[in-house]
Amino acid sequence: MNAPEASAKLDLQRLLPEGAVTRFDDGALRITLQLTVYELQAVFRAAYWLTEKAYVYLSRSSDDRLEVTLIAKSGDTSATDQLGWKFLDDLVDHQLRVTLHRETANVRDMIVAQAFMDVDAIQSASAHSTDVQSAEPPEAIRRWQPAP
Amino acid sequence: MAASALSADPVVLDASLYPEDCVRSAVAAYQPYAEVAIEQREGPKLLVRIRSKAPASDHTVRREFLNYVLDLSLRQHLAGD
Repeated sequence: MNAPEASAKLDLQRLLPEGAVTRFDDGALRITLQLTVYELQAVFRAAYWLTEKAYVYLSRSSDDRLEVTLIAKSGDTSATDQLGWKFLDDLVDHQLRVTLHRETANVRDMIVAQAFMDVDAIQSASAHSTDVQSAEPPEAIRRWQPAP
Repeated sequence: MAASALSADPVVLDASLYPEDCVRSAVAAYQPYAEVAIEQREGPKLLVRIRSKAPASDHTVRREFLNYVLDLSLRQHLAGD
């Protein structure tokens, strides 16, 4: 594959939906993101890893839209495209981490709390659950009989 | 299409993305390398003008400044996690 073909294959503006990416005269790319899809925390984290190889600028176009403008430090257009793809890949990864972090927050808090407790909260919670199971069932359940 | 925001002068920073204290810290940190000043405030936006003191071009210093202020802002945004 020659250089123009390789460059065309990476062209973010051509390959992503219309309006998602804008290319500027100075070689920079602006990627528009929906904050309902990607949270700010995920965008920041992905942008941070990009700053080693690119210059990055963030702006808001509306309450639910964020624009990420980037250009490779080398100034090379295909390098900027490659970094744009890498940013989008990293963004999915970081968004997943942010979601999992939120979903597992309760379990994490419980483990940390357990580490600083005198009593075994997890064990005693489990013992309590066993006690409940072995306790006398309520009247309605005791009277219930399976159908013959 | 015209030049991007990475080449614009002054640089416009949204306070919801770049907290003002981070911008002020970055402006102070860049004083040895550039003439940097918060020129104006337009609602939640700060306009920052940057002129290089070193042989490096204004573009390069401006872009390095943007990466630096992004780093400071990221730390502040994630500090509450």
